[in-house]
Amino acid sequence: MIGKVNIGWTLGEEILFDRNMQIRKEMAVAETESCLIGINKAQLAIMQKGLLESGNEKDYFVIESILKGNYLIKD
Amino acid sequence: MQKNNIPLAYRSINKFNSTARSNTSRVIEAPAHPNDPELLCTEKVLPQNIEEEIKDGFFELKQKFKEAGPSSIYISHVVLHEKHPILKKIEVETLKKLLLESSVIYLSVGQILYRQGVQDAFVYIILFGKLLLQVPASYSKKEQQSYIPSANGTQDLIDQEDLESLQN
Repeated sequence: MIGKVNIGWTLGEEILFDRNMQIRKEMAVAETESCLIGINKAQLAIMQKGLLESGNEKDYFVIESILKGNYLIKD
Repeated sequence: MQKNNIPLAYRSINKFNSTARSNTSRVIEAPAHPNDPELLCTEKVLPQNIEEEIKDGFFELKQKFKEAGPSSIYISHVVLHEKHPILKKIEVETLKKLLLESSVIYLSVGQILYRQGVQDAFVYIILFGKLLLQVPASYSKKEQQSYIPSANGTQDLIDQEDLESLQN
């Protein structure tokens, strides 16, 4: 086991920041009954672009900083 | 990543190098340009019952006048926005949009979200539950794969044995 993640964490965000990690390097398996939301990275990019265009920079940077932060912590 | 069973939320804040460091923060040291912001991370302890509170926002919808038939799950964006450590930070309208664009995935104990070696274009946010990140023992040296950038900028997936034979 290389790690354990729960509420407050994201999974798979490395595909947004590292072109060498487009293929999963690990397996993610539920230790308890779990629920997640999954968004395609292209859809996420469109959504974030929409946030910037609508002037909602705050949400853009919140999403970006959470995903980037989790990626760097796991790195 | 997770210590004990205490649910933790992780807050990352970018601060410039000149900013004073908090004693309670862990500093991620990474080679970077001197003018790059540095990443400070703090661990925030969440209420013990946070997951139960989030589960309170899940409702099963059934047809009113038929005993049998399909049911669907409704997830309250209001509860998620109030309780979830990540989703509470964005506007309700952004959260609604995120939920519309996302797939909801339920996993039973032992179910696999994704396997090693697969290409998966999804980013996931955990609403509740715990997942283990594993490199299976069966994923031996023989099966380990390396990524070699090809001339056209894409990446080719090759077996470790092939890589070694290429290097020899």
